[in-house]
Amino acid sequence: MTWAYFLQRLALFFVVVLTAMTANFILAHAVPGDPIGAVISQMTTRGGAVENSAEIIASYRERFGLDEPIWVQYLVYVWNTLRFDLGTSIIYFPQSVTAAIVNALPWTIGLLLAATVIAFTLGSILGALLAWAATPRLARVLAPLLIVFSSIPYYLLALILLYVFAVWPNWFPLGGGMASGTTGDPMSIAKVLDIAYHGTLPGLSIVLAGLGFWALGMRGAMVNVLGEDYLTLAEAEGLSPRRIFFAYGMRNALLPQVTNLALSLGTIASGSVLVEVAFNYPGIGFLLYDALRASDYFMIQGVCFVLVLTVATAVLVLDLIYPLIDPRIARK
Amino acid sequence: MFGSEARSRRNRIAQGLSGAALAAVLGFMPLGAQAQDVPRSETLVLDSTLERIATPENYNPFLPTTTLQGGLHQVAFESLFYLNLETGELQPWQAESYQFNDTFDEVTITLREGVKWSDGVAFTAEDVVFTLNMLKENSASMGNWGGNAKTWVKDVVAVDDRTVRISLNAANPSYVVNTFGARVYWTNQIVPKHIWEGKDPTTFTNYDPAQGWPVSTSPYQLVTANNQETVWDRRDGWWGAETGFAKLPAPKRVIFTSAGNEERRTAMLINNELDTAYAIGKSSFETVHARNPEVVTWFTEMPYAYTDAGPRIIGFNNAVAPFDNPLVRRAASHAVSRDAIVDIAWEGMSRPIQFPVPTLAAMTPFFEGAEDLFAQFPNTEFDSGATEALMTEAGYAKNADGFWADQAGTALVVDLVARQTEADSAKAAPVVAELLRRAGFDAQYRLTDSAGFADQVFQGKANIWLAQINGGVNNPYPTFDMFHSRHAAAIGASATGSYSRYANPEYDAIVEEMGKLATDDPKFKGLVRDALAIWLRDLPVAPTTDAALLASYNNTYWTNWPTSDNPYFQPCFWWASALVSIVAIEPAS
Repeated sequence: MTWAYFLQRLALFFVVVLTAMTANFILAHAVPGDPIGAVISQMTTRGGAVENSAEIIASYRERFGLDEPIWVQYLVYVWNTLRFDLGTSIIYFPQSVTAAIVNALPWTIGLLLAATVIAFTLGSILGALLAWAATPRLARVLAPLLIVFSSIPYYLLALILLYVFAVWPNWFPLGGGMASGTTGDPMSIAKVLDIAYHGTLPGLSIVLAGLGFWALGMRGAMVNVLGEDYLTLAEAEGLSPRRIFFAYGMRNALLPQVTNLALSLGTIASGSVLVEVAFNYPGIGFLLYDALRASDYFMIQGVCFVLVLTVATAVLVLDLIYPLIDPRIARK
Repeated sequence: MFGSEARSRRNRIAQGLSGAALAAVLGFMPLGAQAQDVPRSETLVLDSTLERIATPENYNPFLPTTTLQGGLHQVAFESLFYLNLETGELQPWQAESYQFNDTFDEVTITLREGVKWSDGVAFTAEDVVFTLNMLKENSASMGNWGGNAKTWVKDVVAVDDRTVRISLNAANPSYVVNTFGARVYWTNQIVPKHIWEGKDPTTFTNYDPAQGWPVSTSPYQLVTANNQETVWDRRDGWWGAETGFAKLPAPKRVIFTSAGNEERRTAMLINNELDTAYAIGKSSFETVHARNPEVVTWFTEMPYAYTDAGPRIIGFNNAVAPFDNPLVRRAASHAVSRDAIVDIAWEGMSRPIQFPVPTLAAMTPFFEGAEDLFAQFPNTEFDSGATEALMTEAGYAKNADGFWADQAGTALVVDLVARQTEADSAKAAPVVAELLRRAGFDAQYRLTDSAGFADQVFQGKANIWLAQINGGVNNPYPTFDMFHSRHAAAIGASATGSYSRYANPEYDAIVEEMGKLATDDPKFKGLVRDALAIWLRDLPVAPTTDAALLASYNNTYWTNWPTSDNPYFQPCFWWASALVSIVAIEPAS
């Protein structure tokens, strides 16, 4: 890896983040709706005779700076965000956006990390096996069936899993991140297992939805690799089929998969929003869902900024480690 | 080619695969790891009505953003009084009694002896004085109670430790019940002066379980809170039990959980994961009851549901054409079949109404003798002939497309707005829009989120919408008052009350007079009739149906739920009055 390569990727990272920040601001404010009015609206549906709603709206618009011209709001937003001050949430006031995200982010990262690693690993193995001549017939029949799940949208898959595993047999919880009644005890093995138990169905829906994508990508790459001369040479040298499969076939076919992994992180993250809503999962996706429904500008901007930052960082890291996997990249 | 570096990489991949496999295996093990230290049979699990507890670390009951129904207004605080909708009585709780002066502009409240905060400090009149003054001084940031205090409280003094005297800015015989009665969803809770003094009430979250916050007089203490649920444990030193005012509640732990949606709520009831649930539909309830017969509701047979305090309406923007014309409002009202709304939005569990107050026992007597007015203005009758006649009288004619058009030939565009988060509104909107189209109105409907709805309706951008009227529950004055012209802001400014922007000085004068009288005053009913005559003639909004509240109760772990056979209290555990029922329920075994 050269310095030029490193600096080029770093510059691209900052351009992406700054562009996304601006887009976040424009899109959040483009959605029709009054976030302060939404709070009052909720109060009135619950029986509140809000005599002073006009006074409350005026007071909170001033508190959140929403009475300022839009360009002033934008400059304040950029300046604050660059200092990682994401502001105060409107719907969760007086909680700060940062605090809400810090509470929710570990849930999402844990879920997405585990589910993505499992989907990527299983999907890649499955795809490689589909292209491998010596794969047992049973695996060849079952693999396409698993791939079918990829065509089902996240949300629908989540509902199916809920019904099949949580509603009728009651094997898994209907939602949430932990068992009901869990008090604020320190982390323990039992608590970790409980969190894993609650994360199983949300994780499974992400795994099933992603499995086909990774399997099909890997099968295509593996078919190409199997036609290469070095595979023929390895066979001629009398290496074991297992070694040829893993060390010669899969290893080389994985390169485009890693590229796809970087590119698909954004899709996976956005898909998890729906999964979290379906499973009532306490992650950042649900936070964004709530914020969007109430036009909570600061929360929308904050969550999107963190998502963009996370995905852009992941892509940057992959960009930087890619030359280690394939030295040709750095040389180019 | 395959040296030590390659082997090391293979090992790392294998470790990764093993880790993933282990995670998968652990994930699939239904171990449950219940970190509970109170048995399920001693835990009461209630539905918070929410998808998530939005503000689990905020126990300031006065901020507009605070999540109240996640346990805060049920068990974090008590109320001075609780209004019992079944008996119509204002049940004293932290207070013992109240007494108005003859002109209803001063009230003296006597607090109950022996009431203590959870930290052992006595609950006194100074707490009430502090709370009301704090609300008055910070009215713009303290939700509806800030506005209430600013509007009504002229002066408040502690006569002695147990006596508070509140002078009002104007006569208001309903002040105590409306402010301190946990009338439906809200009550002006009293906060401890010794905790809140010196804090900024506009940002103070009142949350620190480690030091026993929120400090309250309630029999329950917050243990833990997150977006999923709040957990409260019983305080055996509760003043109510110590003074003999009430027995110690049976549940040792109370959990307010976020069931989220009707599907999950239904499944949780079947699986005994909920002891009581927020409103569900008729078919969902019948499914639950078939699978878990221990789950019951208010009535054992149709209509199953309790009557909600917020009847439904079609709202009109009275300040903008065409609905600034009462003839057009009445014509549109005649175009809509209430029976269709009852069948589709409520699955037959509700009933049509003629005035937007709930059909509750305490309300009915105020409208006895007004049958002639309802006959004179049968606004809620589904009658296409009446629509034709009223629209013609208003100067409209149908154009070539069959839609009503003004004299310039411009068709009336009716853009109906409804909240998608309100299940009955979402179901009723297409029905109402279709019926309006059949009657010749070029009607469309739009489902919006809360922010969009607020933007459209509060600011006067929408001309017609579906909503609810949360007015009176034991007398009609609060409902009439929602149509007073002080609520009618200019277009672009935020309206209040019914949001209809109705303005009629003659009506205002009657309502103002009504507000000065006790509801048992002989003149009160006459003023109700006078106001009703104008209201029905002008029809600022079109009443549609009562709202059905099919709240479910599970007898598996707990019994003595409020039902029509045992109607000791209203059955809504997400209301501010829930504590009365929580104290009353009994273990099933």
